[in-house]
Amino acid sequence: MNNQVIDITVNKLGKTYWLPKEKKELKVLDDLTFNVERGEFFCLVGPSGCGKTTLLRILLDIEEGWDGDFNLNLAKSIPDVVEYGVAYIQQMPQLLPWRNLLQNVTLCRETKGRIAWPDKQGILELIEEYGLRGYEHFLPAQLSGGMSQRVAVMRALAYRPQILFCDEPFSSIDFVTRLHLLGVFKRNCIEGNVTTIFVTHNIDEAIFLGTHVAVLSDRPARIIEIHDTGHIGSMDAVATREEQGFRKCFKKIWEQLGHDK
Amino acid sequence: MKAWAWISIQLIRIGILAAMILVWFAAAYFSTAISFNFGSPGEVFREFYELLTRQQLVRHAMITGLEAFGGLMIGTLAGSILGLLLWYSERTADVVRLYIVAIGAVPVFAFAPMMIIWFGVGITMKIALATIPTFFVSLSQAYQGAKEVNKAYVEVLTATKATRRQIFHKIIIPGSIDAVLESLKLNVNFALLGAFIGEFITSDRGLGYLILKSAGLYNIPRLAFRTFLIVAVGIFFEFV
Repeated sequence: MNNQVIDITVNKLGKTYWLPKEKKELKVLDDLTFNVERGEFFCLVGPSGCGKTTLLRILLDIEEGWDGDFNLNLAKSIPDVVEYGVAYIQQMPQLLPWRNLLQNVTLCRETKGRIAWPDKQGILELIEEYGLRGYEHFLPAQLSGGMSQRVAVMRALAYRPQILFCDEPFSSIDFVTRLHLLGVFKRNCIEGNVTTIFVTHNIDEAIFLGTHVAVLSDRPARIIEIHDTGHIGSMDAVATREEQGFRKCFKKIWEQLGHDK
Repeated sequence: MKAWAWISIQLIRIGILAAMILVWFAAAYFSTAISFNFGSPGEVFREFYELLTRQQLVRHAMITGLEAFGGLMIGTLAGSILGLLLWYSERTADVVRLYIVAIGAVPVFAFAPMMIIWFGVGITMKIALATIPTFFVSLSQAYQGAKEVNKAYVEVLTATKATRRQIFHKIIIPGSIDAVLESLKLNVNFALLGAFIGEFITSDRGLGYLILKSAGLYNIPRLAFRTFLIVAVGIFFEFV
């Protein structure tokens, strides 16, 4: 792993909405500055509605108008190499209702060209890992909310992105399944050497997955502290919760989120 | 339970029809004014029998059906394709919209003389008249459908920097199938209307021609029956 390359640079990024009804400005992001190196897993935790999703949308170039600047250091597409590009896991799964599970998983990957055999094999293994084998031909309407969310995660991973943006991708998956899937997801991202920004308000999820956890304040969101959590945790989400470092970090973040008063 | 609900609905429908015929029958029996203006059920039925046995009915109905069907297919297909393609360029769509609204607002009748000059007085002219309104309905329906495809679906692919063509292919077309089918349904009426107007203006066959002829002869029962035939053709298309 080459940890010298910086994939994502965010410099003094800010975002202000103009509210036409109230005739005033609403500042949601304030002077965010951070770097994410290749292969790092950068978690953002903060209170609801503090602008985490807005940040992702700015980085994805979907949102219009912002202050400051950012840069994504994206590799150009190279023949026979599929690990490039950006993938996005939305808060809602947004599966195409006319495609079955397997076709939804391959949707993004299809834009990179025909899916040859080793990739096809990989996608089937992915479905197996996320516990949805046997459901390949189900339509989204026949899947539960948690299953749909897993499909959205697989759709992004099957794309084999260089950079991955996640917006609470595990929020509607039940707790037990989630503990298991977090381990799978962490391994997937490490194996694919994916640079990830992961938005959540679940503190233990963030500490377990992340190499860094940035704590954001209430609106307008500012970075309170970026914790280095790379040394905490194995590939097992349950065992990680027992670690001394995990508990200390959890308590610290909990306090920083303003719950100590 | 469901089957029972369906049966009861059908029974009520048939009951209303039977009641209407009965009232009509009684009214025509007791009043010459009504029997002159509306005909009577018996006479209308005799018309049906006569037309069927002389084997004209099926032929005329087929011709009108063919005209409407031809226009429906051509108009819906061409309109839908162009409407979907308009999604590609919002600016083009903005420019073109005014013209579509303007031409779409012209009653089909106004096109008839021009269509006669272009296509003559035969079946082609009626197909053309059925095509014009269906084309515009499908055009705006398909464009609307393409525009209203869930933005979040599109964002999944814009994040991965998919080309506009890939998005069109994988999301916009399958996503607006419903709107296109909806326009096909709407268009049944417009296509029939176009075909009839064509036949009313000039024709020597088709249901419109039959109606016109019986009206000219003041043959009310025949006229009434032939008007029912249009209803029948409309219902037929609605269910196919």
